[in-house]
Amino acid sequence: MSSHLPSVGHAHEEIHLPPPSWAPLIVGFGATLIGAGLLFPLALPVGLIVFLAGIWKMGHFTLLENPHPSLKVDHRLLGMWVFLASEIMFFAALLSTFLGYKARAGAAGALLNVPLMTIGTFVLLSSSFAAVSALSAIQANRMIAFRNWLITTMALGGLFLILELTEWLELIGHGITTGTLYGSAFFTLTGLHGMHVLIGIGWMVFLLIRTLRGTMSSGDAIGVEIFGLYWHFVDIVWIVLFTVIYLLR
Amino acid sequence: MTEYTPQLAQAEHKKPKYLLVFFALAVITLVEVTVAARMPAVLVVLSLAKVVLVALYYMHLKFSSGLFSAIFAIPLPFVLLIVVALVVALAPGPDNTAAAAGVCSFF
Repeated sequence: MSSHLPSVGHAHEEIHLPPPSWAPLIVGFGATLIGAGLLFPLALPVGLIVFLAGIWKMGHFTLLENPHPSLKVDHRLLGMWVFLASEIMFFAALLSTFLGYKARAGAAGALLNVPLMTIGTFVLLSSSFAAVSALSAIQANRMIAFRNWLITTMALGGLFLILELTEWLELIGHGITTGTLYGSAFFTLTGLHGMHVLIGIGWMVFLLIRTLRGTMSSGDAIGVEIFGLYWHFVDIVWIVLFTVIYLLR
Repeated sequence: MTEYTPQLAQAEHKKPKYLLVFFALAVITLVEVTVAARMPAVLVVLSLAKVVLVALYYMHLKFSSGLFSAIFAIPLPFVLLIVVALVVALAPGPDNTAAAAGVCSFF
């Protein structure tokens, strides 16, 4: 719900703001605890719980309309695109480090299981198709189809993580651990990508719970569109990682 | 409740064939892991083609405001910079920090 504050100067102008909430502070506190978890491991699970509780609360905020009609693009989509631009730089730095260390690491890349992660690539590409189909469904107010596509996307994301975990265990079995040069670069890069997949799955769980409760409708399509942008971006990152790590060995 | 934005409405009118895009992505991946597996230049081109397909059709850049495409493109020169600089800096051999700094100053 948006509160309508009295305007200053213009009699008919309204300022739309979300209602006051502690949720952003809870999220910030949780994130701080997660950061502290790097030094004090016990703080990590507590931080995660606090962080997710805040996110859960923020997820119930009503998405506001464009505050300025003169803005030709949707401000929520704009925000996600700017975030994704920052994510491009984040992964570029990790990928560059991997490429640099790979040159020093010798033949460790020969131990990678290319067929397994080729299947993983197909799984993630399929999940992107499922995600965009979920968006089409909710735009058409076909809520059962939306729910089914959402569950499909989640399942495929989960399957990708299982395949990735299998690959990690195989590599560790071959002695490629985080203690090796190649391993540290590889696990950091694929691990942070996997974490993004996990966050996406968490986001879908939230959407699914809302759908099962009957509080989602075609009016919430914009929220699904924003989620879709995130999920497809994670797919794009994997397309690049798969080529660089697995094919250009 | 939120109504559709003009961008979404536009995207809906010109909804692409998502399944066709998926098959294109799948075929390119198959080519990558079979025919092109030992051709680095071809692999890079095919990978970029997949990125473009996902961005244009699944992320609706083809139907959205050019501003979104611009935001997506702005980091790319910096990506090139950071990749070249870090790969040079971390290359095997003597300390390459000076060479990496040279790459940065060239940009």
